[in-house]
Amino acid sequence: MKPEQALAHAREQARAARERGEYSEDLSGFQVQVPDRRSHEQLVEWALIEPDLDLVRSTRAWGAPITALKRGAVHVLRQYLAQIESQQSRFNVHMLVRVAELEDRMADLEQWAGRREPGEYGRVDPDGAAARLARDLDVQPAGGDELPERHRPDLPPAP
Amino acid sequence: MNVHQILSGAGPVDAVTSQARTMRRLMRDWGWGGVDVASSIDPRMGRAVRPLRALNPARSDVLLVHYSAYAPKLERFLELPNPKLLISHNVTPARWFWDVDPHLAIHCSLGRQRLPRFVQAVDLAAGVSAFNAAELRQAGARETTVIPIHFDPARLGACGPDRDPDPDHPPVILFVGRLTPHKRQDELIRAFALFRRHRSPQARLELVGEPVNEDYGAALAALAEELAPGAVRFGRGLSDEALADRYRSAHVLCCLSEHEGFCIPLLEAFHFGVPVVARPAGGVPEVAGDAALLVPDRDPAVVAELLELAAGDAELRADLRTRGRARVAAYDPGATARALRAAVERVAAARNGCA
Repeated sequence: MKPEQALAHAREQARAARERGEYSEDLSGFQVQVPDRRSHEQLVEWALIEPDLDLVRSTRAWGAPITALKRGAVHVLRQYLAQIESQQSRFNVHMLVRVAELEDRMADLEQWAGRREPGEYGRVDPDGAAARLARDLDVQPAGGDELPERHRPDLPPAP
Repeated sequence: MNVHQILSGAGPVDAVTSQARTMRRLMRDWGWGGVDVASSIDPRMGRAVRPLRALNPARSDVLLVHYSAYAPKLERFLELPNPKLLISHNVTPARWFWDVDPHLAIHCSLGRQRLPRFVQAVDLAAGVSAFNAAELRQAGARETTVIPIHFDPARLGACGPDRDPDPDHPPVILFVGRLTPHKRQDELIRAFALFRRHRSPQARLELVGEPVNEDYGAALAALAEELAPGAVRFGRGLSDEALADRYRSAHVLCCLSEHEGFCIPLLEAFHFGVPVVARPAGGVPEVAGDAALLVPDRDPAVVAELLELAAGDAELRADLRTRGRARVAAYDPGATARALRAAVERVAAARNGCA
């Protein structure tokens, strides 16, 4: 067979095999995920920073004592590090809530102004500053579909 | 002429560092001087690479910046009036790392974000592939060129005689490269599991490379054990000789990576006459040419069928071997050396008025 024929042949073989009942097994398990956007639940999980002590280690030759030393240093400094973690997490969480509130208010205003249908919340302007920043940093925007309905007050119709 | 190489980091097993050291040897052969400096230096490097503060270039000296990561301390060199050449070694998009390694994700994110600042400040921006050079143009580079990775197959030793695998010997599928999310070893394990269950029950998979971190490596190992118990072997920290042995015993190299600036393992496989099955991502089609079976399909069954063909069809294997040798010849180290020399002389001439 020529290399140029191989892919078409493989596709045909796979199709025929499936018709025979092959290739039907469950292949679940660990899978790399690159979601289009991050849910609020995911952002909340990330906001509460929890460094893993197991990842503090040395990869050098004779690294075991260095690993022990590093972990010992983390242990000795745990009160100081806990302050950093808690203060950073506090800021992260409050910032997330503030962003969620702004998304809520923006969605309501857009709906009120007739720019969005009910239920069409949190669509990010693809040319807006947030979208540009997300593209530059390769960060998927959070989106706003998960905003709870209870935050939305009844608004009078737009003028 | 003096050419100073500037790196973000230097280490004994770092691919960018080894490219820079090869280039230094070439430049020394050409009678050029200069020092190699880096922002962070592994102590095992000795005095081969000096700290950034050791660089005090004369005005006509060429600065060669190797760009491979976020490197804020390198930005001050952009302000110097010297002729400047940038070689981009490609920064992986951050989206692949946010879940697995946030620290690396931040560095990739900022590395790609700051790339325009670098490419717009240099006289010439070079990519290791045309794909990479296109990214540099998108980032605002005025002029670009291609300086491929300097690939010297002699490093791995002789390729050995052309041979078809022993029919009594179970097929070995090989992957070489870092174990990272964008290289999709998870998909490879799934395709291999199907290949093993439906086509070749004795087949083995060899994954050779350092995991991005221990958790990621453990997740891949658990998946392999679940889908193909006892059939997947992980290898890391291999010497050149041990790596060459893996190539010599492999029936197929399979790479389902989603992002590659160049992909050296393709050329290594071609050198050893190992057929390649690969996803046509980034620089892969350019490096592979017509010598690999490129599979854009997400269906692991299609990949499994291609593995079956690449491992067992003698005519196909012979054809791929011949084509692979031609690809190795196309990336002859002499051609890369000439491209490097031409690029350096070009920026020197443009700024200094002489070559």
